[in-house]
Amino acid sequence: MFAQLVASGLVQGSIYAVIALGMTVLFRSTGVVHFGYGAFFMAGAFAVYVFSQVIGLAFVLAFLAAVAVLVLLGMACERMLVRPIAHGPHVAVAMMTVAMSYLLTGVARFFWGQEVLRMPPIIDVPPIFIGSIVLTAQDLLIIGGCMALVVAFFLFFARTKLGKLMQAASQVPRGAALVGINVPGFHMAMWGVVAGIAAVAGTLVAPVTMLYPDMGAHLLIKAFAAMTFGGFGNLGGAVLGGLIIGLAEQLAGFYISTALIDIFAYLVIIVVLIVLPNGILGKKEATRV
Amino acid sequence: MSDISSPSRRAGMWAHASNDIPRVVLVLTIVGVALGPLGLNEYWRFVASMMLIYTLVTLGFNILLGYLGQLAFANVAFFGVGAYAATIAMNGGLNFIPGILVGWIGGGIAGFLVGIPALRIRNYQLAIVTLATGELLRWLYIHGGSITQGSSGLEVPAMKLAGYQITTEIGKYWVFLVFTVLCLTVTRNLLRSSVGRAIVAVRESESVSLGLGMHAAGFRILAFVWSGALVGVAGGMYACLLGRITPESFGLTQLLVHFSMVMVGGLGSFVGSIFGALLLTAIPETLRNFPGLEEIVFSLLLIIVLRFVPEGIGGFLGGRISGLRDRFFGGKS
Amino acid sequence: MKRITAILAAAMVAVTNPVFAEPGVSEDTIKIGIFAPLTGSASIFGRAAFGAEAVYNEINEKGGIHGRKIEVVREDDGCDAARAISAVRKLTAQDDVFMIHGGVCSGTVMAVRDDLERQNVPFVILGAASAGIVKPFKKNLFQPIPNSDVVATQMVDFAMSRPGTAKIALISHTDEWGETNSRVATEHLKNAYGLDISLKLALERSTTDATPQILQLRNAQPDFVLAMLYPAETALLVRDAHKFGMTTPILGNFGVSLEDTRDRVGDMAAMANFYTFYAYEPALSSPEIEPWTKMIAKYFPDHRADTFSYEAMGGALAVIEALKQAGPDLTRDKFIGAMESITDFQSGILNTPITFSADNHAGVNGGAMIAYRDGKPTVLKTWSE
Repeated sequence: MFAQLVASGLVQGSIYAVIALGMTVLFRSTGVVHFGYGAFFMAGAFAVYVFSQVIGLAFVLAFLAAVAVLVLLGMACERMLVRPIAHGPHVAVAMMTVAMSYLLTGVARFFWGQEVLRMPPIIDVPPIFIGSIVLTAQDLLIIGGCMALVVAFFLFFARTKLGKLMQAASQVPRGAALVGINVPGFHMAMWGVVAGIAAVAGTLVAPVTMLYPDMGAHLLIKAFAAMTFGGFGNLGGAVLGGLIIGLAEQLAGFYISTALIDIFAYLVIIVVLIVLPNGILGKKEATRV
Repeated sequence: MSDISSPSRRAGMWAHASNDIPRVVLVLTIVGVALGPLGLNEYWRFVASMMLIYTLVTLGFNILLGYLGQLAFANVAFFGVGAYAATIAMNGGLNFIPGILVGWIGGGIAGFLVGIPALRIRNYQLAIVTLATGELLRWLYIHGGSITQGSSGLEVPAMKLAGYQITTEIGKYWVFLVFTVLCLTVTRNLLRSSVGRAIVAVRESESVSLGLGMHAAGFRILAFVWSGALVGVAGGMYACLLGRITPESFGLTQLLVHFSMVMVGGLGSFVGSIFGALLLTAIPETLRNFPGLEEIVFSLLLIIVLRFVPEGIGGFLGGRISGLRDRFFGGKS
Repeated sequence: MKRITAILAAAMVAVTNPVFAEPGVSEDTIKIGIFAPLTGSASIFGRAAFGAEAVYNEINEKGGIHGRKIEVVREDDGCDAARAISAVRKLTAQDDVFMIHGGVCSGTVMAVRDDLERQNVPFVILGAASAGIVKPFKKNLFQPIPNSDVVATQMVDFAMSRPGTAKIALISHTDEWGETNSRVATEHLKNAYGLDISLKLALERSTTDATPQILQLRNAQPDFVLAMLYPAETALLVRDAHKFGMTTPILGNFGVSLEDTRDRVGDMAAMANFYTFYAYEPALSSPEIEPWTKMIAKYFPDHRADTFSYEAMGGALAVIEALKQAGPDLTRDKFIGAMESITDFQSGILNTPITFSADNHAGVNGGAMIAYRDGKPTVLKTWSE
């Protein structure tokens, strides 16, 4: 029983982890917290749906097309909406991402608000039994896909020269500009990359949760909880936070009360931020905007 | 955007004959605002009351977003707390005025509670914690058992005032108008006083204001409390206007409306807050026959304003009719 | 003296009511206001509005009622009480409707019903099923659909109709709707059969995983699971039950459609143990329901008919019947009187006749269940049927 809860918790947790990772990467590299990231995730899922179910592309093609569309959407948002106001008050930038969120959700609702869209599983095989644990192929795909993304990002930031340069650029933008790094271009690229992550996550999750316009909003709160839990802006912390929240929801749901699952994320955010503003793993970091 | 105009000239409102024309305009405006709804049908009187409520909501939100410059997204929480607190009080037998005072205090306490952690956490983290607070409160309204009556909502008794029951739309409008004007006047004076300047100074630079010997923490808390209290009053009026409050009315959609009103009106603009509220209350009512467009229209409007008119209506007006504005509203504070 | 007073009074009435002037009624039209969630996450239930409007359009095509055509004014409430209130203010004050046929969410109905009662505007419920709507009794308010008391009772009776049923588990949302349904079911099980609910679980709205709940259900091994859940969560439960190999029959509530659940679950094998409350006579996708589907499609070609599309058609037919009975000199009071005289009205779409009386405005007192049998939706009154 416990093993099953852990397995399901890891599936849920890895979804939270990827979304938290995307937001953390963007925050680390551009200093923006993306309140519309849940909507990007939703848009990614809908894009795959449109390409595979409406237009009828093969799944792999639909997936690539959706990622491409989201990367472009992310870059366009940065170039057209965020960059022009980047030097204004940070309230305005935050508001802009909020507006993106509502706009994407509104558009999805306008077209598909009355329908429930189902995404067929990527691999349609019966559930797999490992001892007493039951997992679907989709569950394994989610864990695998999410962990692959996480590892790829860690390697990129820690091992590649470009990754290190990007980190530097985000910490000292003026210095980076002085040594010849195209900071605006770098920001735009990062917006594209994280939007792409959202599309991948959306594709992985859509067959499980089904598609509805508000699917991103619920996930966003969980991702915030994961980020908060792991220390704001800490890549490893965000991933760990996501996994822990996924696990804790399942275990608390079974052993304490199923009514806890819903508000667990809110409680984590409020308690952690008030008691430990730097999270469980966080170290004191100067506030940056 | 800080207020550097001279102290209020209002004291001599009736005594000074030299500013005749603006005074006439002012009086005509007041008479128009008070009596105008007589020429409207019940539905538009209801909308007019809604405009008053959103004026307070927007101004309250603007104190935190614009004047204090904090990403505090708990406005819907204040609104809900005010509405539920006032309703529970009035269900307990209180009249409208003490009931609305309970909403005012409830909102103020909520503001205080959110303001305390806001001393330590800033920016995006504050945004996230305040967002979570709002959602947690909504969960509490749904699961509040007999206190909040869950998702079917809490019934609000008829407005009782000085022994009368106010059931007509126009009656409610007039009562709300008095309260709105009262709140606006007090807030304007507060913002134009040294307190208001201190709040803006805290926004501009905490270290400077500390150096000047100001209690940055105290002013920060005060801004939160006053913001919560104003929005709490609006919540109480909202409950009375609708006659029933449900948890769904205090969710993220409501927050988008508040965001848009503040940004369209202009961050840190008093007059802008009023215009933002009036405009964005009227738009959805006229959009009624195009269901589904509301979310899109509001967010597009928000994007356009942020991108092209970052100062909002307030800034737009400020640049054009500053003289008139000064006479009219005593400076953009 | 008395006679003089009476004559004077009669004269006064004659003077103050010189011509026929009931709001929303003209020489050739009757205005009916409809409000429902046409947008937002509850808009799946708002489909009921289109079924009702199609019925009204159909009677117009057949010549109307006493020479009058029905004019529908449709408003969106987004399932939000505040928007419902402003929609209803607009319908009564600006559009001047004769009556209102609206309300899919209990919260919105509760929010507007007192105001409508004060104005004596006839208010026929479109799809809101809470039994609390007709308690306390309101003279102007009619609920021509099975309400939550009827549904929860039916669910329990259906489970108990299988011989040997001894353990019933219940899984519910923790909001007022879920709690009310759970309470009615629990009380009915106790009073009628002397049984207690063996296991009670919570499943929150917008959850995406039901593993803890399914594991607990699998441990407890009940004979039936009553699911007081909204559509998305019901589908989640059915899907995860199948994933973990649980074969206990799951009974869904009124708000859950069989087809919609199948679409969400996406697996016919998972649907084998799922039953849900069903209010209609013809089964879904049967030839018998075709005419109703066609009627909606005729006026709303883009509308994809689903369970909820038919929900208000029976009520709309009852309204038309009452408008006919109220006669050509239509007034709101006459209409309310005519609604109260509707007895055993067979709408052809609802499986239980509509009956109102002067002291009972909950019009539908029964229902059935529906499940897939050999891949076809089949209406079942009892388990063994």
